[in-house]
Parts: sequence; structure tokens; C-alpha cells
Amino acid sequence: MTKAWPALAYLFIGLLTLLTCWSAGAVSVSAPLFFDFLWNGWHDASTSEFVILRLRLVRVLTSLLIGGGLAVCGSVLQRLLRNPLADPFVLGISAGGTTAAVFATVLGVPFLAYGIPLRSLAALGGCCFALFLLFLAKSRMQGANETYAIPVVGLILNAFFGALLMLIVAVVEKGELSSVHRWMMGSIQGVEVHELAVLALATLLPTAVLFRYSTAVNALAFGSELAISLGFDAKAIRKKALICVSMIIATVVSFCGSVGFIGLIVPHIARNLHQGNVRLEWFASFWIGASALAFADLFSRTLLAPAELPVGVFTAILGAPALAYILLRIKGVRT
Amino acid sequence: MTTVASLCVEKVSIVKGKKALLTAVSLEAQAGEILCLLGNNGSGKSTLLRACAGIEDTFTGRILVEGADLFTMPLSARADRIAWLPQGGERVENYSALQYVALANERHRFYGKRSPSEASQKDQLLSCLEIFEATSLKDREITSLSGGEWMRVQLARVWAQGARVICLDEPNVELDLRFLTLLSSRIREMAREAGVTFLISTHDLGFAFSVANRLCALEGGTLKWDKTAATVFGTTHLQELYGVQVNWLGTPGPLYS
Repeated sequence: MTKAWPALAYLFIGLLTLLTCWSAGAVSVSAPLFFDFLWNGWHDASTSEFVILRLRLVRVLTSLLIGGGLAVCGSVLQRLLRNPLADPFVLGISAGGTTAAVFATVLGVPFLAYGIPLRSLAALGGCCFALFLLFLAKSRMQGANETYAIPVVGLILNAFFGALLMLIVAVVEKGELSSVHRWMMGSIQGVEVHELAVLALATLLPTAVLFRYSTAVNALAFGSELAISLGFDAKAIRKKALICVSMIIATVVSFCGSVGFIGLIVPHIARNLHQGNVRLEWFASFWIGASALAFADLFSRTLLAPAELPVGVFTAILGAPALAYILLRIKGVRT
Repeated sequence: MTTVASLCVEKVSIVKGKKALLTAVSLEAQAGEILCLLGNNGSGKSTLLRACAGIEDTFTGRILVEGADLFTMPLSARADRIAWLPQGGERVENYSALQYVALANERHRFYGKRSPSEASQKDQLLSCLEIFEATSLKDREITSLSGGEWMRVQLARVWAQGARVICLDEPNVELDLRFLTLLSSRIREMAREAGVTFLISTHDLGFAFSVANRLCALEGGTLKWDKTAATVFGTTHLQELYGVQVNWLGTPGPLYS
């Protein structure tokens, strides 16, 4: 049943995306120069093109990690909550993390201290708090139509955390506003090399754990009761998977704020491509999400060059109609 | 030497909120026995099956399978011993029938135990579909199946789990007469040849008499009586249980075959 070629195809797509988004941009780099850089330009800062290529590589890698991480989170949440509308952004988990991260920044907490990503930890707290509120609400609404009720809880959480964020914006000094804005709109600018290492570790490790859980989450999609009878410790698996999801979202949020809709739409594409094969579905989700965000970022930095659009604005413009489309085609299979 | 019962339910009571769903129910079944649970709606049939399958975990009393306590063993070991067919099994989009049946053995892959090769595993799954004449459905999306087809695919999933005790919650609903007959002969085959114990809830007395060795009547969460099918036939027991006039025709034995 398992064949290697779809996985290889996705790796190839990822590589292609990396090369495309790396070589393209507001400052065009000629092909010979690009290969010259690949060959011996890594430590050469004499030409501005080389500096740009280095900066751009960090940026493309960041967008790949963030896009992939968000898409996997969406896939896992949609399975665990058994809800086609579940996504870190829609459910207000990103907003919880963003608010916490912004609050920490305003208080003067540095990004990294003694190698500990403090701001990410603050975001993790915010994400977990939002998830806690979400599950609290879920446990209290017995009999409600969960397909629609859960996104409504997300709406409430988004409104609540949005208001808190506004409160911070209103109180904070003008000088710090631009960094707060960056978070609210979602942007991949300004990640540094040593931060990239933190990002890679904090998104790829939980993703690997989630991949190990894919078979169990497969059974959980049919409800925790059937999963238990099939031999899976539903409660423990759900808890651990949610912790991994929160870690990824917190990391993403602490780096670049709320980037919406990647986690909502990409899982649907992946699910339609690989029906019932959860492992491959998630793998596809990761690479499609990664490529989608890398290209969205490419457009955001080239469309109005030299001005830059925040990538979150870009994903939202594409994502909102897609969300409406998904809503329209949900089939009511609840028998 | 005393033989260990295949399934042993010891004074199981379940209280949900203020309502007692089950009160001190005790049952014992030997390997290869087929028990049908009878009783009105809300008498506790499904709850007893759920308790045996490990879904209801807040109860007093004990449930033993082949002498081992169900609630001290890991969940995956429990799934090796007991399989469960829920009532009104929920369907999820984007799964083929074969992928659904494959869930029966996913625990081996997840908990990293040695599992047979994928080819032989697939053969086993296909043979379980074949048992219920559902091989032609294997690539169909489960949301597109009719009620009866979905029931047969679910039964194949239960069979594929390879458990020693099988709990079926109203497996007869949705099945037409031919597949109902097929189901009862498959259950009897499995009990006779593999020594699997069955615990089946049903409202269809024709099905119950065609398949069961023993009939167990539940009323208001207590076990009212537990008798062989032959001793119930022709008596007023069912009349008292259901509160309707029961007219006995013919002789004990299967209604259809």
C-alpha cells in the first residue's frame, strides 16, 4: 500500500520551491551569479548580491518551516477535533499565542536569553491557554452541532485576544508599535540565522512526533470510543498531539505572528490527494504548506517592490474565499 | 481442573449522574458461546456491551477475559481480546472500505510490535471482507455505502481485529434477510471453529433464536434471567419482558436458513 514515489515527489517540489523562491526576488540575480554563490559565495560579503542571497535563503527557509508547520497543525487539528474548519488561526490559538508574545515583547522580554527562546515560551503559554478555553467550551456544549459551534468558539477567542491586543497597542509607546503591527499582520521579515536554528528545531521535532502518531490519530478520527476499542489510548494520544501542535503554533507565532489560512486550506488539498492515508496526507500537508507560504512570501516581497506586503495579509486575501468554498461543500454525514 | 471462563462479568454497576444504568450485573460465558442480550430500550444492553469493550470505564465490579482483568491490561492488549461493533457506527469522509477495515490492526504498527508483512495483512483484511461478501466494496468510499453495505464493512472490521470475545450492538439492523442469515451463520461458524465468544444485543427475536445459545434479559439495568434459547421457547418469559403478546409458531430453531 505504501509507495515511496509520492513522498519523493513532495521532497522534489520542496526543493524546487526553495530554489525558485531563493533565486527570485526584488533584486534579480543572474543565473551565473547564483551558481557562483552556491559554489563559493557563502562567506564572501564583497558583492551586495551575495549578501542578499544569504538573507533571502534564511527567509525562504523560514517560510518553508512556518508554512509546513502550520499546515501540519491544521491537518492534526482537523482530525482530532473532527472538524473540517479547524485551523490554528480560525480557532483563536494563534491569536492567544500572538497576544502573549506581544505582551512579553512590550514588557521587554528578549527573544533569546541564555539560549532559551523566552518569547516562544510566552507564546506557548498563550496557545495552551487558548486551547484550554476551546476544550472547556467543547466539553460544555453537548448536543450542539460541533462542526459550526467550534469555529464560533474560535470566533469568540479571536475577538477576545484581538481586544487584548488592541489594549496593548493603545497603551504602548509609539516606538514599539511597528513590531506589534508586524505580529498582528503576520510577516516573515527579519529572522536571523541563529533564530532560524531555534525555529527549525522547535517546528521539526514536534512535527516528527506527530508523524509517529499519525496511525493513532487515524483511528481517533472515528471518535475516541472506537479508537479505544481499537486499542489506542485516546486520551493520552490526544493530549500529546495537542501539546505538539501548541509547540509548533507557539514557535510560528513568536517568529512571525498570525499567518492565517495556510493551516485551514492546505489540509483539505492534501486530504483530497491522499484519501485515508494519514501519514502521507500529513507529509503532503507539510510540503504543500511549506511551498504555498514560500510562494506567498515571494509574491508579498515582489508584487509592490521595493515595498513589502505582510505575508499574512496575502494569505488572508486568498484564504477567505477558500474558507467560504470549504463551508459550502461540507457534507452532513453524521449518521 | 476448572476451566477459565472466556468472558466473566462480575457484579458490574454503572451510575451516570443520578441514574443507575446497570446494577450488579453478573454473567459468565464459555469459549464459543453465543449470548444474546434482550430487553426494552434503555434496559442497559448497550451499556453492558460498552463496559465489556472498555468504553465505560467508571464502574464498580470486574470484567475478566480468559481470567485477565480487562482494566489492568494495556489498551492494545485489550483490543487483542475484545472487539466491539458500536451502534450507529459513525462514518468519516475520505476513507475507502479497505482503509476502514485496516484500522482493526493499526495498533500493532503504532505500538511497534512485530506485525505480519503488509501483503499478508492485506490478504487477511480482504478475507474478512469476503466473509461478509463485501470484497467488491473495498475501494468504495465509506460515506457512499448504503446502510447494509456499511454494516457489512463494519462487521469485517470487527472480524479483522482477531479478538477472542466479540461484542455486537444490534448488528442485524440495516441488513436484509439474506445478509441477516449470512451473519448468523458466520457468527455460529466463528464460535464453533475459533471458539470466539459472542455478546450480541438485538431486538430481533427471529435473529436471536437463529443465532444464540443463551438469551439474557435485561430490565432496568439488572439481569432478569439468563436461559438457554430452547428453555425460553414457548414460555411466557418474553411476554413478561416486553409486555406484548408473543405467539409461538412451529418448533425452536432458526427462523430462516
